[in-house]
Amino acid sequence: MGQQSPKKKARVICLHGFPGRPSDWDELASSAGSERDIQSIPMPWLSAVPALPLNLQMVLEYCRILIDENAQEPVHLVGHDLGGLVLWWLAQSNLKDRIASLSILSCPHPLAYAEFTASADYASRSEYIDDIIQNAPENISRRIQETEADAATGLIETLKDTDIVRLAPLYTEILASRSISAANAPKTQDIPFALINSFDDRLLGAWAHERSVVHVDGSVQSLLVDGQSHFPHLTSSQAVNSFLKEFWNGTGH
Amino acid sequence: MKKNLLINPSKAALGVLGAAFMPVAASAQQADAGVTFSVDGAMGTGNYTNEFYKEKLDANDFDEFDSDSAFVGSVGASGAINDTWDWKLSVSRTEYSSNVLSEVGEVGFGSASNDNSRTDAGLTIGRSVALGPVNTRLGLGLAYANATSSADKGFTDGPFDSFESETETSFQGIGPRLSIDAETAPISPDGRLSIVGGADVSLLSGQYTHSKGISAYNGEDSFGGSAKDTKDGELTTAGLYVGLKYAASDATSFRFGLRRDVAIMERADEAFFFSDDQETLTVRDDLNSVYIGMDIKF
Repeated sequence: MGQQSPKKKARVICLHGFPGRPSDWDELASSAGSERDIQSIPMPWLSAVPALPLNLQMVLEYCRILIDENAQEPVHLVGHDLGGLVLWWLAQSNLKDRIASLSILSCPHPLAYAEFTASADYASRSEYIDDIIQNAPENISRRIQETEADAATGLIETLKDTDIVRLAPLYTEILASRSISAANAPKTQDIPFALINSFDDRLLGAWAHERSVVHVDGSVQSLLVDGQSHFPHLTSSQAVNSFLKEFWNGTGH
Repeated sequence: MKKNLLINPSKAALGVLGAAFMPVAASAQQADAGVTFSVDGAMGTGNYTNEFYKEKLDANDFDEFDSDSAFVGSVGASGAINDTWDWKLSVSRTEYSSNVLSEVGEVGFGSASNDNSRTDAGLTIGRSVALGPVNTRLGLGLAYANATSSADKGFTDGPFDSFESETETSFQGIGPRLSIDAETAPISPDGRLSIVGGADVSLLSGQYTHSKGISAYNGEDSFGGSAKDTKDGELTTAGLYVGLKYAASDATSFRFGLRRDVAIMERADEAFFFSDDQETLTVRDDLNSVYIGMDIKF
């Protein structure tokens, strides 16, 4: 009698941020090995994805449709940066019954972001979004070169694959969301959350991470990795990937 | 290193990004889209028979016949030539039910019927352009049509004990065709439903064959004869449609809506039953129909 192959665990769908690309998740796929399938969505600010200038609703609906089409069973979702912002809102979509867990990297809860933008700390970190809105990719490249030494080469290459002009209305909308109220903020109960940040993310700081943990109503696990990178899945991949695997296994899916 | 598996964005997902309105995106999708086969069916009503008799009797208020009813079936195929240009082929058949009038006292004959059918084929080369929030395809090409119209009448009253006449016109021609098809942004949250519309016009030049035959019987006497005439002429067709399109998947979509089709063609007349002169009339055929269709991409 032959041996039965072990049943595959719930698959994972990953959403990269800006700058970012689907291959950002290859190390996670290697780490998961044959236990899980790791999939990724090419986000619509990549030049290869045909799209008009983006707003949040378009990006949310784009991701919701693709997750709906590709995940008929419970699925773990992972999002970095703008991909994480999508996940905060998808938590209350009609997909919520199929979401086994949400892992959000370097993206604060919308209420935490609103609090962050009102803080004195924000003023020293706001140029990043201004550069995007003003379509100044050379400034973004320079900033990445200065601040993301470990991942700069890949990120600057990624910038070339990105249509920054499409992102301007989306980031303008994000800036406007600083007036969001608790009543309008996304609800998070009943889904296990993992929040991952660098301890002193240059764009967000640790404070926004701590406030995000507070704003999750249900179960949340938190990982703060050393350093200032906004891209912990690239710069501290081993720690992040191990944490994610343990987190997923703990959900029973 | 093991790579993660990339999810290819579906048409529905791209739809919410407005991708359908981007010429580059649209043509890129078409370039690797293979061939799309289409099938359509439509049922509608028109007033061709009454129009024919209005012309024939020179009576603008003639409306003795019921409305004509017709079925239109068509098949088509389309595909990309390159990243900019595409092709579209369609063949359709319009078949009217025989329109029969059993009794018309005032005009002096006992029964009349009218039959009408047409086969159209069109091949256009076109390209898509974005006009604001609407993706529009402009096509120019060739059209072919083969049309037949006939009218039969029978008297049991009048100067003869019985009198029967038949006229038939057939046309075969070819000419230029211009078409425009448009599709809006998705109007449903799931990105699958959009509004479609379009118009086409074909100006066909070809040959008409008009024929007529009569036979009469009055007691011991009988009379009969037939005539046929061939001459060059034109036939014009035009269409207009608006509807909804639902993309069930990336490969399959369904369409339904309303159509209005117009054809202007000559018809044989037998205004002078005992003359060899072949009279012709110009009759306009307006058909309003409800259509349903399906596209499958291979």
